[in-house]
Amino acid sequence: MFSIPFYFILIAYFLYLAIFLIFSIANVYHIYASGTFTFPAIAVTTIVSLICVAILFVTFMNVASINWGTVIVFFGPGGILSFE
Amino acid sequence: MHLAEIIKIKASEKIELAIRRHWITFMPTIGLFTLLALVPIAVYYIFGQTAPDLISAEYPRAFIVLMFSVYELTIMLVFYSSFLMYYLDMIIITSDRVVQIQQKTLFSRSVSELDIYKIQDTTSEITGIVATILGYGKLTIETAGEQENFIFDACPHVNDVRRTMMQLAKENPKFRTAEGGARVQQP
Repeated sequence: MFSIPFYFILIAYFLYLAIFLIFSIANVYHIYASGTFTFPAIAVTTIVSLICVAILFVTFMNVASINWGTVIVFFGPGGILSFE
Repeated sequence: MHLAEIIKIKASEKIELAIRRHWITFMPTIGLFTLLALVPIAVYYIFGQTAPDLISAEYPRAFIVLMFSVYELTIMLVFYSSFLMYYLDMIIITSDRVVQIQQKTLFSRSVSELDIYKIQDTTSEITGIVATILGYGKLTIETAGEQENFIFDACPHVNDVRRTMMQLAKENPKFRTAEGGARVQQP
């Protein structure tokens, strides 16, 4: 039996968000540095940004009420996977 | 930054055309990524029918939501990178040069230049019903000497571009016609 706190998953998610942000900034910088900061590029950038914000908002709304201090127990008395 | 700064345009030079691939060639990518973005919705629906306890339980549901979030954000990131690789591929035709910019991967780009008076021949190829209706095709620019030909796929109004390029090549002051009509390049 072993256990991990549920907030480990949140930390991993935030690490992914940091990597996502780095690549997103690199992408937008490419648009600017290559002289292609035109209306279509700005429009696509804006649409993609809004969709990403919407994804993050929906995610937040669904996980805001979670008690992240809960412990996930693997192969414990409650079965293969249980929450305490 | 403006295109003129990127290609270091000279005072006497003027950008005649800046051409990107036809927008229709990006439509399959949009379709594919739209389908991929809908996958979590389908999976959530399937879970709802086959394992409703899984998605109604608080903590498994939170985990699933985070996984879907990672998936969707990755889809958006890859889509935007695909858009960059489509949008940053271009040919810039100035009064003196032809500059081809190829975005091979996100962090790999090649820029090729050709003096316009060195153009020997340009070829436009239109293949397919959609290409014929929309007027886009492959543009090939052949040069004298060892320099590789410039090839640009899905060039919009490819016939007009070909004619414009040949006209600019003939009008370039470094190009002159010898007696008898033979084309001779200035040293």
